[in-house]
Amino acid sequence: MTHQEKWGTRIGLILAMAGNAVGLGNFLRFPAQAAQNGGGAFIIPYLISFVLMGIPLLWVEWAIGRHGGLYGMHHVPGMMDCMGKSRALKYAGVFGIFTNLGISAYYVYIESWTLGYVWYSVTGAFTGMTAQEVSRLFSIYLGTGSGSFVNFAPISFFFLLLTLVLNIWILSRGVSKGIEKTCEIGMPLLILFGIFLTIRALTLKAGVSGASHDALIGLNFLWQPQLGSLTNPKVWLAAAGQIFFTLSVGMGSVHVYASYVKKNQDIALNAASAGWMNEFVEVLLGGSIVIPIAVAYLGLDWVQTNVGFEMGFRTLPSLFQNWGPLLAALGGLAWFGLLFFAGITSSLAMGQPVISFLQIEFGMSRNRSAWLFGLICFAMALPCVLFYEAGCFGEYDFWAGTFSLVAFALIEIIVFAWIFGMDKGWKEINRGSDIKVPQFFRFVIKYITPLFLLAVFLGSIFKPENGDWAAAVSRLAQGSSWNLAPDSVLGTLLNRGMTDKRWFVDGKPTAVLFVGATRIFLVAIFACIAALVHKAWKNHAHPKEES
Amino acid sequence: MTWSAFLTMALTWCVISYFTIRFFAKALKTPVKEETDMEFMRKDA
Repeated sequence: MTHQEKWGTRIGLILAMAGNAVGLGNFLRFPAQAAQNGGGAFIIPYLISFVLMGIPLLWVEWAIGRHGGLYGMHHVPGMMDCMGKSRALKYAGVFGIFTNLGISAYYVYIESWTLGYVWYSVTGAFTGMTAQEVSRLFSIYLGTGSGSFVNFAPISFFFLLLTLVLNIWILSRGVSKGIEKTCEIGMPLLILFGIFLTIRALTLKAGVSGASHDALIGLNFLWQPQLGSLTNPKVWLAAAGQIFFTLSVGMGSVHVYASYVKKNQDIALNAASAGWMNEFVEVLLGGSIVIPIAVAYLGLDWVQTNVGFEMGFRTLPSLFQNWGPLLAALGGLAWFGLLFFAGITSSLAMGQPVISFLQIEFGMSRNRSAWLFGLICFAMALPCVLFYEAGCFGEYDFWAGTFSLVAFALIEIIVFAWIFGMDKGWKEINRGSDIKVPQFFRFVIKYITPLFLLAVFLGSIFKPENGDWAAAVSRLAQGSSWNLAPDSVLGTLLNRGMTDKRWFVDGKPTAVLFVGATRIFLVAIFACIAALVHKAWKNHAHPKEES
Repeated sequence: MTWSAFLTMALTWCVISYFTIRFFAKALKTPVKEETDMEFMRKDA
């Protein structure tokens, strides 16, 4: 089956890649991570991680993608298979489909909240509501807080379906006419909304527009260097983790987008451009909206204890109400609009790897494969939606959206630098390059980035209680056991965060049961994809890298 | 806002803005190569 997709313009490609990287985490995760890990001092390990791990990984993924594209492989199992002689390599690529399916299942759901909240904002649904009522509206929207295990709310279901259909429609139009066009509209709008909110946030002064503090106090909190935190491994792991997730590396979406770049066209400059654009949006815009606005109205103490993902939905809409009806509606539109564009440009990137796999390996039309992706995504989203409170959502995020990314990135960097080989790899990165990649990065890609990733991988598996590595090591030296954090990989597997480990209590299923069932479901999905890859390679011959 | 916080923020913003604009502007200015493989290989050699 021929696969004749290509990017229309260079700016379209860069905006699509930047759109893939810029996601909800840029605005909701980064400020929280920075605030919890040393404020201004967080930025030092953050930027070091960007240079030593983020940028090299981007180059590696673009190179793997373009190299696979030369063989007609626009899906990750095929690309990985092209990297060496081993037949097992294609199975490493299973991650590149699994993570995209697993993440898109809950990501599209969050994306649909932002669409729902755009609607609420422009229709003035928050007008006259107290802060508690706005917060409660979010619970009602999700169908949570009723004590039932099933979280069903027709409004959230409606927006989920609408968002899903929109994604399918765009994906069915193809790479150039669908994804590229959407990113060319969405990314400039996202930046425009972000600039509007940043200016509004940074000009908030105590006593004006209902603010009780200067917004600059929030900025000070975020940027005040606490150099002592630099010696804390927890801060370094958090910074490396943030860089990792913000760039959308380890997913397979970068590879697939890059596979549509022609053989002799630049990847080094494009990757650097998209990567830095993501940093611009994350640090300059993402760091200047949520925390300054929240601190201006609620004070520093409140923010320090409540900073987190849901703050953007539970708290911000009520704060916008202090700006008057018109600015409140505009603020809501800009905030949820930018989150929506950040979300959709990423979810489209998650759909493409699945669609191209179905098209190339099973001969499906673009339209049919887009709808099939939507159907699978919907089926996988159902547990996240219906059993949101029982922890299904969190399990998807942890296993598909966190663990698998790190695992795959570690595998791919080893395959690229050590199996494909740095000689060929370096040539691949530099072929047709419009910038001269410093020779220093050859060493970084071969040794430093794999070690960085290994540290993040092992750190996530063995993370000690409270992330306090020094205390954990000293306890171990004294002969005590290693206290695993509940959110470490091992701690999660052992359900360390759960006090009651029974499956049923008074005949009702417990969260332990739902969490366990979700894990089995995710393993089954991974196995199914591996079986499909196996079948695809049985069905017809695939090109192999020549030695 | 303290001076140390302001300087950390200003320096970070400048570094990120500089590289973002520099790379993006270069990508916009540089025409996309449409040469054939043969032309490219000849030049590369």
